[in-house]
Amino acid sequence: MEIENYRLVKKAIKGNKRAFEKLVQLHYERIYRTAYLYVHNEEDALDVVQEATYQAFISIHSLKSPEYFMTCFTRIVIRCSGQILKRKSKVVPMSDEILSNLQGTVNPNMEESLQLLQAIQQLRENYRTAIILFYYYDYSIKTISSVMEIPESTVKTYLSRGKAELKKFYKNEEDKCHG
Amino acid sequence: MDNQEFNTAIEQIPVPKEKVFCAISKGINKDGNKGTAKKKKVLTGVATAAALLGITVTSGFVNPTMNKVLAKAPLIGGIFQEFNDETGVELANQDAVTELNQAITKNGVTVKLTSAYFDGSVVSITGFVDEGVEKGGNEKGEVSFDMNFEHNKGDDDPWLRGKSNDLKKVENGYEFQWKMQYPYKTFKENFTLPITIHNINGIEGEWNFDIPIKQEKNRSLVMNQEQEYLDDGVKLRIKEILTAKASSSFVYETVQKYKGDEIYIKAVDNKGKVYKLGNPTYLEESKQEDGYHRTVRTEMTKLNSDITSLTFYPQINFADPKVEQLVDKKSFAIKSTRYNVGLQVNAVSQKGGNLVIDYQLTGLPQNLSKEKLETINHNLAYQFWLVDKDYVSEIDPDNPWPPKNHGIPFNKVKMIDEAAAHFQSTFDLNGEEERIENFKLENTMLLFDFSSFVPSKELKPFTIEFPVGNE
Repeated sequence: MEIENYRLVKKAIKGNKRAFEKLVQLHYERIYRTAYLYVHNEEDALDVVQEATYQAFISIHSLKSPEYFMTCFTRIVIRCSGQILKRKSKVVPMSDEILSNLQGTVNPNMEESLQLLQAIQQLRENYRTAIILFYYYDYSIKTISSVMEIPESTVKTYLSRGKAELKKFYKNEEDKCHG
Repeated sequence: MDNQEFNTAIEQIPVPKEKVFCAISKGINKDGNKGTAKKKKVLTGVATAAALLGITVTSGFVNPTMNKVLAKAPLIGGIFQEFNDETGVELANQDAVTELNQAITKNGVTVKLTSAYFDGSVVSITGFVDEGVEKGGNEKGEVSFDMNFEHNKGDDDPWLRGKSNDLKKVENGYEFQWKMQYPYKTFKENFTLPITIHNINGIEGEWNFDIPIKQEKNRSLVMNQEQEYLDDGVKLRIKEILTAKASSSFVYETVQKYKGDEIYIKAVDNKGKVYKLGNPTYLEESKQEDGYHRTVRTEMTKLNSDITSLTFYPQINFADPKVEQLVDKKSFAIKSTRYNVGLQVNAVSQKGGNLVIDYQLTGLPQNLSKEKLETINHNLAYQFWLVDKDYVSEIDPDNPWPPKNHGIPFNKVKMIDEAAAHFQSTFDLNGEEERIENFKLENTMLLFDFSSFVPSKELKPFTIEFPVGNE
């Protein structure tokens, strides 16, 4: 896979549309879900996918190291999500309605997962990005620092604050249950 | 909290696969998408891509007409429906798909080829590979074939240029479809296609197959009509449309003054039906006195037999060579060679390890939208190259990139004044990879790419009438 991907990226850099498309398709779930974590609805998430694909496509020729394709793309996805949120100039909180839509598609003992999902989406943007890149993308602190264009020490701060907020949220939920 | 918990949570987000794929494709083919990634004559092939499976959501996408058609289709049609291949379903209905039953096992992996068809310019092969592939180096759910046709070697294989792959997880293994664009100018109606699979997911083979490929002669609609666009330096010769059982292919020639320009064509018949064109296969390319000639064949939606005219809507994406300017002055202006856009450099200053260029874009349309400005702002980071003037000639035209240690392809952009299209770009002269050794301002060449400012242009459509009673 690695070698295959590498070849695809090289072709894409040379302007091969189909190779580029395949490459993005390989990661479609992750890309879409990342966008969704920011914009919270299908329509906007699809917009982000489209815009990010476009922006990545017009700039991929300048990607020198093929192994950085996914990190570059992730940066673009996050930036596009941010732009859409800014354009709407309001952060849509994860409503119960959206959650119940999600719930329709999963089995009932997933409640905890859904709570976590809700908590992630309520984190402030910087923390959320750091947390998503760390846990979902499995990126190292160093990579996250290059994607977010912030120093490594700041990444660490964001991560620990993000985790603390998630814990707090968990605790609140538990209290609610017991209360 | 651990990764597992986190991933389980995120996987609760359902992914509408078809819609996401559609968004991806729209992003790539976005109107006015000039970009600077020019499509070269595709010398190297498209790699055999492994498709990632849609594990969580197998999507509710069911095409109703296809379902109806399938109701009558024999068993083999099922696989085409899974891969959303309408041509395949239609051919299965007409009993025009060759069923195959060739299986080879090597190193614990069995590959079975199950069907083949050749329709118009498209060759399709479907098959099955058992779960033995999961022992290979790939992640679960991914299958990649390293393969060649007709005993070609590596990327130097015309069959790989237009190849696309699809993959589905089934019981005990994976079903796949390969679709190739027939690469030669004249069609052979009957031939054997040798296939060599060198390795699958890193597991060595070889698996060798000889696949019989056949189709009846295509019905040809010869047009031979020429349309010239003097202002844009482009000539189009519509040659013919070949119609097979379930699809058509369209052959035309372009003559262009600028090699890098890309021309796209849409066709609409007298009843308003729009014909989609696929990716081009270049049958012939040459440089002649009047420009660059290129004969192209593309897959096309099947042509209705009762039409009386076809209208063609060409669109052109312009290429513009990078403009070069020695940075030996503090201020200067450069202009696109083809279009009325330019760059007015107000100041160049070196601050420690950084070079800062302050400039305004000229000739842009008034009142650019916020979005457009953001895109420009974003693109500017890639549109400047600084290259040591002694190394400019070392840039490979087929894969342009500044020579290592002697060029910088990126910069950080700051918008100074939106209304005046005033920006500032900062270059890091001592980057880890991209840097200029022994940097001297007067030895530095600035290369600027204007092409992304030039929107693509719709050329005037033209109609070709067919005599009544034409086949």
